[in-house]
Amino acid sequence: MKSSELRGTGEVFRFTLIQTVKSKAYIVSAIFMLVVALLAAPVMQLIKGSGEKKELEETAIETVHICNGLTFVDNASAITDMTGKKAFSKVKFEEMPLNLPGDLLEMASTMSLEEIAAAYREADEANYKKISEQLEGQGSKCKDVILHTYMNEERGITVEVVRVAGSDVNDDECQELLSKVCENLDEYKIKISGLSEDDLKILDYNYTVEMNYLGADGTISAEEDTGIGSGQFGVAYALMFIVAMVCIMSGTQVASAVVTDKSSRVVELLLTSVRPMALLFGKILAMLVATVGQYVVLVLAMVCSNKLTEVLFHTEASYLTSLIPTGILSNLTIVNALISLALIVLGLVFYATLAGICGAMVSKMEELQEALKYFTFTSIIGMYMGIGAIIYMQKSSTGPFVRFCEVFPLSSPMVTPGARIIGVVPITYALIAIALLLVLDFLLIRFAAGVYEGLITNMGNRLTFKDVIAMARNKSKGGAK
Amino acid sequence: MSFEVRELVKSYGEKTVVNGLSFKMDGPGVYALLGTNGAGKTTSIRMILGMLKRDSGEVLWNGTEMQPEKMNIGYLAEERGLYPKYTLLDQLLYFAKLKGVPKHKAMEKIKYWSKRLQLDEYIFPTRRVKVKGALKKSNDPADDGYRTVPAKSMRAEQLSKGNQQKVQLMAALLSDPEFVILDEPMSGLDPVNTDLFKEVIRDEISKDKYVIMSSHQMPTIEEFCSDITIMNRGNVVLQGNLNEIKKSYGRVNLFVKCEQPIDEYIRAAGLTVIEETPAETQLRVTGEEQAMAFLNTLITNKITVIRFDLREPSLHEIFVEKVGAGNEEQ
Repeated sequence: MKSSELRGTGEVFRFTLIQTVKSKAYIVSAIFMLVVALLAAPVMQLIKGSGEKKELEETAIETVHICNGLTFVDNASAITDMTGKKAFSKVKFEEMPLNLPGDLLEMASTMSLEEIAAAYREADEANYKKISEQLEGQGSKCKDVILHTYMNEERGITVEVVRVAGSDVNDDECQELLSKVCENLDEYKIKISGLSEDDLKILDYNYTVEMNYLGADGTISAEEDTGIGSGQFGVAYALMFIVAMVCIMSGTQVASAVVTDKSSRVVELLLTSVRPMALLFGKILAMLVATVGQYVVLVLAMVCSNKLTEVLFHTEASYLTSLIPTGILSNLTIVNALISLALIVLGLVFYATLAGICGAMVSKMEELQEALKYFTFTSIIGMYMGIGAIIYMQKSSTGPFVRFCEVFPLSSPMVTPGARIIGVVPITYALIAIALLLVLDFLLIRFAAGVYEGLITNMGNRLTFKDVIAMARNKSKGGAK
Repeated sequence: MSFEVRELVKSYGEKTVVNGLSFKMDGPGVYALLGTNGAGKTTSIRMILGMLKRDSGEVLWNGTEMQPEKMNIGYLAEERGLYPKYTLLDQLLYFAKLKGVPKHKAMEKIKYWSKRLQLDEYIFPTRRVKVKGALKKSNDPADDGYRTVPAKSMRAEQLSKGNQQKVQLMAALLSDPEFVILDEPMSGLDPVNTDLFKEVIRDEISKDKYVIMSSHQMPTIEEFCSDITIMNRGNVVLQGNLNEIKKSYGRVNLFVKCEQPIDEYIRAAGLTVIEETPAETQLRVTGEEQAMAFLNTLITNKITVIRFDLREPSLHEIFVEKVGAGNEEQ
């Protein structure tokens, strides 16, 4: 392809971009996406609240009546220590004494554990019934709650807080009480088990599983289990989804613009000034800029909205920020960003060129869907391979299927950028993916250069893939001048 | 400067759609490409413009291979084309920019042509708006408080077919091209717009431009073109200077109108009736001598002759004869 064949690309690019951006469909979709992006952070914040737990300042609870049915907790004060919970400093904790049978202690040595537990349960239930009736009698003015702890084989330890319906005590206060009691219970269990600080550290240790291979040269190579976590999965999947959407959207728009030129017969006039390849490239660039621009604006709007939400809601991290796991983007260096960008751009060029060729195969807008089947089929293969690879990465990010998808040109623009950013693709694989995409883009552009002229000037019936191949063969034989 | 087409050939599979077309323009003027539908005119034009690859042949401008993308060519295609959803002004500026015309110059040209082709109201429409505030109304009693302001240029889809055709002619001539190709320029135009187009074409010819015109309207071709090529099914069936072609046929068309019936004299003279209408009878004669002998016969027999007109064949007749013969041969 000679450089003179690209003369006029800039003009085609500018005109196509301006007309696309001025179109009602583009403006409406951009406004819709912008509104969604701007509202996402504040709305989520309002619905879900802050990612960080805000400490309760005061509580309406006056008295907590404790019904302790846990046999291993002798004294309920061990689990109702409210140190560090300022809101509960003035709250009274009253333990309901268990009304156990008088001869239980004497007969304990002759009773089975089940019998003892049943006696405790009976006394606890009686306690609970008594106090709940008492609170119920006070009606909605009652500011007391019941803290009921008990245990059974099915549910394990149950900690519940009961309040009178319609009272001033709210859910947040009860939740705060419950979480502190559970925390105390954990500490109490460790304490009565007799474990030391060192024992606890050992219990806290994580496992790292390695499979090592002894090579022929005597070296030991380690193959780590590199399955990705849910946060990494989220980032890789989101990026893959965005790239796939941009590929499909911009490709469809390129095809549609090509068919518009043909169906409106403007192409004949244009071809007196520019070569067909300049028309194709101008359109591809314009549609890529229009589509990518829409997403860039969307992301920027989301970031601004998120920052604004954090300021307005006086929180360090909004709910949206709290969804992104800390340190997940630590691999997002300039080099990795450039590698990812190169992969995405090359992928977009591939899919847009393919769509342009498909669009040039028809002369009427109503035939476009039929012609786009080759593009749709190819992009769906790429997308499903991408989804499969990212799902498989949760199990292992080094499996052969994952590695294949990372370098295979149909799926690499969708999988590899995200995978590189979360740090699961070695740089060699990323570079191989770029090289393969470069080769594929070069071949496709050469193919397009050979057939596009014939396709764009064909105003007749829809051409098939067979016709396009025949055109390319004819060109390679030098049949046409 | 000269323009030459040498042995142009184009085939689609087994079918040859243009078979060895050659013609030459030694100087500015109008060259006509004629032919029935599917004769290969538009394919030839597309090959000349480099839109279609030719199987063989040459297109030369000043003796060297013509490079259409580097020349200033105005083209009015047979299959008219405008973007239906874009505004006329945007499209015209785009077409001019592709031809390398700077924006301010393109704007001047668009204004000139929109006036000339009576497209002002579509390309530069205006609307009346009520003026608000202090400037609301002047002391002029005729001032109704409204002002005329520029409005958005119309979209192509809002125009009639004829007006769209005018916009396309405008797009073809915006860059003041040295080489103009008009493929069926008058088809579908009303008589008023046909005259407008003819006037524009006459002006372009007067600027010493090279014009190639393809048309089915023979009177238009006769009006503008000096040289012609008639094509049929891809082959050239007749080519040359129109006057010389006509001369070579001789004056063989006799148009007669008399007060009395003349059928028996026609039969007696052995003349062929080409067409008979209430207005006249068209006869075929071998030459002036036979025509004069027939006139003498009529006068001798005291026939009142109202019209006696001996003419060369029209281009229409030559076309029908040549193309008809070609079709029979096929």
